[in-house]
Amino acid sequence: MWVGVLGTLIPTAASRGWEPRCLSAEVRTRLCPLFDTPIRDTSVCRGRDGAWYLTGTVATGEGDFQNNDGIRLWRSTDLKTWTPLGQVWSIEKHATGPKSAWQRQRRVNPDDPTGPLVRGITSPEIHCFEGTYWITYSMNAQGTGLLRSGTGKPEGPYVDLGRMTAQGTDASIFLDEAAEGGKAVAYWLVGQGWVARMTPDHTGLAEHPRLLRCAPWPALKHGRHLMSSTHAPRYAGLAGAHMVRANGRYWLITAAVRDRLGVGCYDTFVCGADRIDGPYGPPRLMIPHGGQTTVFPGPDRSKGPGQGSTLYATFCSRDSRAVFRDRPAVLPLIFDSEVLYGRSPAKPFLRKPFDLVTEFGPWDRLRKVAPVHIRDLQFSFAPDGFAYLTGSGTDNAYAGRIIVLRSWDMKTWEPVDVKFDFLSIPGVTEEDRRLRFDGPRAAEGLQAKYMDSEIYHLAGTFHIFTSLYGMRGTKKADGSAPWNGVMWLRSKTGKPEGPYEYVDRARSQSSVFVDHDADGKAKQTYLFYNGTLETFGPRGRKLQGKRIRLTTTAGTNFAKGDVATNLAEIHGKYVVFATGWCGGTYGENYRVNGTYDWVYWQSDTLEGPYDMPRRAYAMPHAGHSCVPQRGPDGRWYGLLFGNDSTGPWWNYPGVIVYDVRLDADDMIRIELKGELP
Amino acid sequence: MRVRHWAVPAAMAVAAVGLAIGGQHDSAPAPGTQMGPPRLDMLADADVCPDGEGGYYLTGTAGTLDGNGRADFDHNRGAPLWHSTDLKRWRCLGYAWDRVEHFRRTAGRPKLGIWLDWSAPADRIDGLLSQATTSPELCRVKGAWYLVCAMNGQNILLQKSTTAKATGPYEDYACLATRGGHPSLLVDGNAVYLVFADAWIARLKDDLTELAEPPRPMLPAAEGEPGTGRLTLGMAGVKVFMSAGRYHVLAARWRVREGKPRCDAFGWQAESVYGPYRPTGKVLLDTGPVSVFLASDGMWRAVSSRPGKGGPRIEVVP
Repeated sequence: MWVGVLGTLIPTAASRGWEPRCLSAEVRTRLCPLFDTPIRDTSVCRGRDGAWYLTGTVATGEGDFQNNDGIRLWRSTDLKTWTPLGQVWSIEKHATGPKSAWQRQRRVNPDDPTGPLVRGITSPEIHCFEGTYWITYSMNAQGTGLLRSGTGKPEGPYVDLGRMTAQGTDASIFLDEAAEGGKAVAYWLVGQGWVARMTPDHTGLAEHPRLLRCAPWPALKHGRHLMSSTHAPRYAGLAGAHMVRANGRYWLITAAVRDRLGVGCYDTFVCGADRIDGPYGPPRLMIPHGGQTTVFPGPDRSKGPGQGSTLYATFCSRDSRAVFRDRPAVLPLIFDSEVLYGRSPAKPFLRKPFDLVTEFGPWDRLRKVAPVHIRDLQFSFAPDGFAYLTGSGTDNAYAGRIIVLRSWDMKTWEPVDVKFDFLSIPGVTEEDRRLRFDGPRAAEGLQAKYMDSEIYHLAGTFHIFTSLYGMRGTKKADGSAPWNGVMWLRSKTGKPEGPYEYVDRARSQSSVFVDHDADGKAKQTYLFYNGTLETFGPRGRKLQGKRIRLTTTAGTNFAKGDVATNLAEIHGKYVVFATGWCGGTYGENYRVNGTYDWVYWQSDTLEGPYDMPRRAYAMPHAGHSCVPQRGPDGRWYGLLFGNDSTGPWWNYPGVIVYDVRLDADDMIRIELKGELP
Repeated sequence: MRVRHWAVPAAMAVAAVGLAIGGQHDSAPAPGTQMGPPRLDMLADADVCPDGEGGYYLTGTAGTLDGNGRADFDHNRGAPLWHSTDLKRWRCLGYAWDRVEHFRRTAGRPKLGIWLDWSAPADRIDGLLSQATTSPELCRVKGAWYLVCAMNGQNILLQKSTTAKATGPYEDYACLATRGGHPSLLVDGNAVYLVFADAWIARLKDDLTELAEPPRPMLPAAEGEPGTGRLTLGMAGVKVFMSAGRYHVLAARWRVREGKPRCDAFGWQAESVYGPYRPTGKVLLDTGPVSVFLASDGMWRAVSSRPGKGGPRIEVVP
């Protein structure tokens, strides 16, 4: 229980239906590098001595991962402190035999094909089985090979068994100890998910590689169109095939690029099967930004961060939205499903723990501004110096009441007890009120919740635009539907708590935009919804009905997967903010592995057309949340609630800080900062 | 991680004055926008289709200029179209498919609207949000003109001309795939196939409204010692053509030739459209990915793109 600013007690009663398990984690941990050496494609295995051994693609300088002279190795007994064991394979010194001749050739640079030729060992992966150590490798992603320790020691010296595949990269070995016949069988894995059984002595392949294929992504109806299935190349991923057997199933793990957050993120995906040849299920996001990974046994303990599992994974991020990039890291794994509000979770799969942050941003330090569930946020600054926050009050404590919070420092928030009588809406009857708000089940669903609320201080008082959704399957005695709709309310007292009076019907997911002239004087106030402006009547008591449909220069929608839009004037530009589900294409259910973000478009004129700034990326996890607003201290604030299963933040309001500027190319740049209020 | 695409340098500087192949070049597009007429010297994924009357249509991924005057294939407004009677001089016909115009015409509520979505380009780490119609191709099926294209190298959209003309206008007809890009249609008797991504194939339903089967990869024949052959035919962007009773593919890949990186197109053939495919030994040098068409002289010709250097290169398939 917490005390409102106006003396009203507002109990919290979180709705179970909106409470993902992960929200119980009050403390989130930010993943950190193991040590400060540029490494990609990190691989770890547990050795015969119980210690862990790490290798990966090493760089020349800070960023050239295509030129190097071989393979280096590190050792740890606690997964924290790592001791370098030095270079265990040198192309110059060791690649002297005929089987190693191919290592000495120069190749096309896969990162820059038209650039100078390169020579380097990429994606080395260390394995321990049959009494010795093995290192798989690739030569600049153009063919794979295998080294074996001739001494049984991890530091070698190693013998090159030569080239295993003429094409492909990111080789791995999977030892299937559950194979039929009771004898372990080794498989060679390459790239996107090619697999071939190895010869008994592991010196070559016993069969031609075949491509393991995953099931299609779930389909989603778009508008009037529903694909019977998504259709795409059935690669499990783009690269880095790795396999592990756990919980009685085979898990094919690959790295793939998805535009979650509106940026090509290099993520780790996993799909499961009962047999090594499949069929494999659809890919699930295993580690956001994880890239190419390996899975290995972690410390022996019955309980810990991995909830009893001892499986760990390497983290090999390469994308700009990762918590860091090109440094080695490891993390525990759990078996769980994704978070999908109001939907049945998928079967558990191997994934990152919910409370571990692998994404850039202040997510590990972000705190709830209020212990209530709230979605679809909006806030505005009022002349009294406070910031007022509202949204969809999905917490059961706000059944039948409009949620409003306020803060003068963007840190401490207090509830405002908004007074509004539902029965004051013209045409609303006691039967409407009873059907919507009374009864034991009313508070559990959304029917009793004021949704998509927005609050503004206009013409000397507070205005709230809010919705009560339709009640499917409920009818009044006369057979008609209970009252529902979008309403425009106004405080009769000029105070934020009201009481409020009903003014007029509004539009779904409405926001307000005030256009100013060159002197900063308000010249026109609009209601803005789904990319459309509508004017208010001259006396401010009705919507006038004059509409302007804004367009983009790209001939596309503003929003994707939603219709929420807001309009702002920033640095002399008109900026449309639109909700976008990133990480999925048309026809896919991008809610499964995607992110719920804002994207923005700009124009020099109100009517547009609006351009999405090139080189812009989405405002992460801020979909249908508060667009940036400059506070009294000059900083640009936003609030978000987190709505996607892959994000580091879920369903509670949190304050973030943006860098909002106009670039030299006349483009608005909005980027998340690592700081908090 | 392997390279999937013919690397068109994203930041390739383009001369401020267009090459105006065939003398057709109205004016440069305004930097930083998708507006302006298409430019032949900024065309990628070029594709030529006979018009049935001795002439040819040319389309491809339209490049635009970013705010710094650099060529950008992640932002355009649709599928450009040119026409030629001699494969040398190309007359610009504007956009066969114009997203901006179509959005206006349908008041933002088209039949399908795959193109209403934006996303980042496929499989590019740190790729940013974009809106481009990529790899368009014209195709005539049972007397009707179709335009198949991708959005940002991912969703594949089939559009049908509302007139009997290749110039359109086109309307949304079907969403054929959710990912993969680089689409091409193969008409084989009564069967029509979608070939896309790095050589994946699926037959379409007779009415072309969707795939009739799950896509499957067109793979090299598994011959020789395990591991010694190629896993895939090559890079994304292949077109199947039929010659001498066999199915042929020209698939590009990078290799070191004469001490330098080269992107050549290698010939493959198969008795079944699904494969397995065996190398023909024929190679087109320095072309990158190519499309193929049957010219009026009965010769198969390959089309490759040279954005930043000029219009498309057209040569006889050996």
